[in-house]
Amino acid sequence: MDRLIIEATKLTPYVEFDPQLGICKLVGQFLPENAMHFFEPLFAWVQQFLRDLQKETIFQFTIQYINTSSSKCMMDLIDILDEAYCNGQKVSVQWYYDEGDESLFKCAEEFCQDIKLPFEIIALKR
Amino acid sequence: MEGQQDNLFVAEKKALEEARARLAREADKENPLYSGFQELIGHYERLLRQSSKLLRISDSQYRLLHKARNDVRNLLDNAGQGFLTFGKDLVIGREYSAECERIFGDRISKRDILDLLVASGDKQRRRSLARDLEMVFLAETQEEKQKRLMYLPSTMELDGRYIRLEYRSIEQNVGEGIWDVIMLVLTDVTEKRQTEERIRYLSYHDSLTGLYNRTYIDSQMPYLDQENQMPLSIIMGDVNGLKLTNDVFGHQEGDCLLQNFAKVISGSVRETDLIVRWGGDEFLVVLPRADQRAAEAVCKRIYKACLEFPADAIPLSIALGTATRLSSEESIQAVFKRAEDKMYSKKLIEKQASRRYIVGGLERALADRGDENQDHIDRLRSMVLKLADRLEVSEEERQELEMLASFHDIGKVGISASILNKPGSLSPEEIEIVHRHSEIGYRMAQSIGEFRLANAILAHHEHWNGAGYPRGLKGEHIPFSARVLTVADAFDAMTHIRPYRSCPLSPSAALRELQRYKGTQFEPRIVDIFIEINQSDSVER
Repeated sequence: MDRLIIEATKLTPYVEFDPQLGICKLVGQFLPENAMHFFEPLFAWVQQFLRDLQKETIFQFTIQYINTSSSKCMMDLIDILDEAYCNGQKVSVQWYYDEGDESLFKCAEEFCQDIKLPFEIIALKR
Repeated sequence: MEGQQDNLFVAEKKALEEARARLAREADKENPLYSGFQELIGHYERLLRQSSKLLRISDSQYRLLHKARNDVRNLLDNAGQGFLTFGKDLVIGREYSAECERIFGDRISKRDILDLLVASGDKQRRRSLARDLEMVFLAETQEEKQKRLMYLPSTMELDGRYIRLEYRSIEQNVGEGIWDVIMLVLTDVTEKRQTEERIRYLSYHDSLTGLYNRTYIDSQMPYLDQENQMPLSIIMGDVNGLKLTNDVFGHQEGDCLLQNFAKVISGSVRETDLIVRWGGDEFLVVLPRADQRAAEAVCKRIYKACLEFPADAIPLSIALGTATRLSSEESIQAVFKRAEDKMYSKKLIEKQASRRYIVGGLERALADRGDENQDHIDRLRSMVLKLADRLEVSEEERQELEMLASFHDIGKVGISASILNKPGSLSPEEIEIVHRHSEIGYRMAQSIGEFRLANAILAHHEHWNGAGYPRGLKGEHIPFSARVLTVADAFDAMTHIRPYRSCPLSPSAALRELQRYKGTQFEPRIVDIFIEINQSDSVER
């Protein structure tokens, strides 16, 4: 399966999903005018990827700001990963936030509620 | 926080619970819609869960944004600069820094930028600025926009304040798309500009007199060197009596003397002439397109103004020298030198006259103080001359005695009149101040070149036994003229009304006092002769 790379813009994050490395990154701010339009290729890639997944894969999210519609899409993405994990796939999430930023920490805590997927919240040192 | 969001979905949760209860009822399981209803409830439950989380995430993101906005606002409000933006409609945006309100004295949101940058009524400038701004917005590339921004005004003056204006072309993301805006940065440079002007002023002016300094005249040399400035005349002036004023009255009075000269010269020259404080007590006047006659006319006006100036103790007196440059073959420096040489030569010739003039001024000042009246001086002069005759002194000593009678208390012009004329006794501090008149008088006589007189003035309160002041000299170490004067001065003081004595002694009582202090305060031989003279005078009378 090919790598998925989408460069960051002023409104969307950098995407680098690397199946060989087993690391899928989303870094930046999520302010797309049409969230679904941005997330659709990501969902398609992830669903295809999870079908054939053999090795352990980490999803690394570093979010500076996320609008409400993107939050909905991120929840859907996490639900997909949670379901895969519940079905025995070796997936986990590492959620990075700026150390000392309480709002971003709380935001991460919301995303990891009601799921079984391993979800690690990691403070980025300044 | 979670609980607060859950309160928002009470009705929805209740409906979900009721729907679940329906699902549990055995009777409904046979209903053909049961499985569809069950699936719908599953979706509803997920939707409810997601909605609740979304609201919490959204609120936390709002707090994040709000904090970021406040942080940026604090930075801008405390940057000491005004920041504002406007679009092609030239209307100022909602957000701007606090400094903008301070500069314009009002809220500026939604105002037209032209109203703020152009004085009302200046229609031509308003049209011109509107056109220049339009050209910026019409430019297609950022590079072109930056070029156009350079045509916009870079400063403005508002109610006496100077504001520096800087512009940036910005592509602003407003959600629905990208808008072109201009960010205007306003910096109040009034204080900086005032400081620069002050520095410039100080670098070209003498801070005491406000006249130009040498640096300024050096900067003007290329201009003054031009043919069209000729004939170029120079007046060099050297103030008389500055050292005396500084020594006697202190440097504050010396500064005042120089300021008075600056006034006198300023009022005597033409508008086109440059006046320079050339050195400590030297002034220079540069007169472009002025021949020797014109320069001499200015000198005459300066001399006349000095005489007419309402001076204090030290009258205004100056030695002037002039020179005129008629040809470019002679350098300006050479003309300066000629004027300076003439000034020094004049100073030498007028030395005695200027001293007499200054001393005359001091005598008048002392007389005006009311303490040392002319009658006292005349009586003293008469007494010391009689003593001189009896003591068979040389002509030189006789002249010195006469001068001492006139000037022994000249140092009192440097003592406050309120102390000198104080009725009754003086405090120890006041006595100390009064005693300083001997030293002041000494310095005054020295500064006019009367060195023997200076020593006699310094010693005229010394006592024969060494108990006097200021140096405690004893016996014949006290200058002769001072020993003579002190006897006559004491007799006159005792026999006449003084601020500190309203009932004078009779001459015979005063003579008894002299007799009493003979050998301690006074030289015995001089007292004896003084008594003899006075007794024979009274017999003659």
